[in-house]
Amino acid sequence: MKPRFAIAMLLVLALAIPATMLAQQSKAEKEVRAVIDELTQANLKGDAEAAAIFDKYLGDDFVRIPPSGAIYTKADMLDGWRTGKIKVDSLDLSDIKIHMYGNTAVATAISRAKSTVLGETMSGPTRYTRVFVKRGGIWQCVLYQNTIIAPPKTEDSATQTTNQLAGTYRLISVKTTIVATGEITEPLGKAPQGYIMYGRDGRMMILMVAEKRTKPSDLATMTNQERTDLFNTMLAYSGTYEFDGRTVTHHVDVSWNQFMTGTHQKRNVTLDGRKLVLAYTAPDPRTGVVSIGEITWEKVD
Amino acid sequence: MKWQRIALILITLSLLVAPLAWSQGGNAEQKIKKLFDQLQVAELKGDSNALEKLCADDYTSIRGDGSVLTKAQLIEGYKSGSIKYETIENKDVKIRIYGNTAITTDLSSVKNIRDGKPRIGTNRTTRIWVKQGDNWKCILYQTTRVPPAS
Repeated sequence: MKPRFAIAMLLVLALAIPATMLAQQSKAEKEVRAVIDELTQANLKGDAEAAAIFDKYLGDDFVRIPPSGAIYTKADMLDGWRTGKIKVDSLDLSDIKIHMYGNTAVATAISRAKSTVLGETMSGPTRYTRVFVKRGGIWQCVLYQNTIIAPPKTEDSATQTTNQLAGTYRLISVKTTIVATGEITEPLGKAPQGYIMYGRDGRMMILMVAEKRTKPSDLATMTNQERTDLFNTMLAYSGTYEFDGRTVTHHVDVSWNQFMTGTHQKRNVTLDGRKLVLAYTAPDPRTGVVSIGEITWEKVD
Repeated sequence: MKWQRIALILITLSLLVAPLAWSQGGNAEQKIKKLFDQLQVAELKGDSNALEKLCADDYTSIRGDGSVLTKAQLIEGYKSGSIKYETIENKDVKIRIYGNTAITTDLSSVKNIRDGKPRIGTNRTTRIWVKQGDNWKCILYQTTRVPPAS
């Protein structure tokens, strides 16, 4: 009887332990899901309220990799919320999957957000991964990464894609953000002027001038200094272009400074109704500091 | 006296345990770095056997265009030649250990071929590793394409 009893006990235990583990896993999964929901709500609330919630749920070693591939820390994010440099107009998560690995959870989802995060504008769908680690009873996020989901490409859609961009756009702003510090500058001033034109024939033309420019009193007596100042506060070039729905490449064949002629200027494109944002990362030619440039345009009828 | 003795024992124990925990963390970091390098060699060689061993069964790959591959699809991609790396150069490799989970992040310049088309680009890549039994396996890969410099 005794060995039978022992075997029966072992069987009961063997069945009970995995069941308990599963129940715990499911409980933990629910906890992580609740944190994800709370973070989504915090994103939409914004400002200091969001900063307080993120302060609780972001680990001190938190790293965010946005679609630009930059790296943001917890301090960058909290500062962004507090100073209004992070603004989320809408956020929708779908296809949420949570995998539990003991005290770590890995969540993946499709995120559709309209937001500006530290100088970076987002509108299309992205693949999102968050890693959570349980510390002191709280599931803290230690990693958050987004990858833009590219629209499907087919031969037939290539022409349609190019046509999506076709039109004339008026310049709204030119902003550069230093990746390391988040510092934003407007090299052409607060109200620069200009236009960019994309033709259905595959050619483009751009003209931008700074906000502050001095008008010479007389063209005949214009000084070389005046000419230099005017030259240094403008940009103009033309060429053919290619657009794949995500990136536009300007193949420059004529330019105001000759230096750009023959180059291929690539820009990430965000098209949102009448608004067009062209973005790029590049080191500052003077300091070597890597910054994200963002040129915002509005379509002209 | 009794409390002093207990305190002394606790201090001695904590001094003994701390380096042990640290050495385990350090050890895990070395193991992950080794696996990270092995995975990269496997990617460059298109070594499907090595990929089979290094990736967990529930492995997910989130590629630069946001498309998702399972382990089977990844290995099939290497076998068929639709995924092919010519060069991978890593910078800024960071390893973080959280018990039985590890995260590696890096900035990589790659030259690869996707579905017959060559691509040169810079990616910010994350890999998540989980210890299963005695072995660490990669459970998730995600890459974000860094916009091209002007």
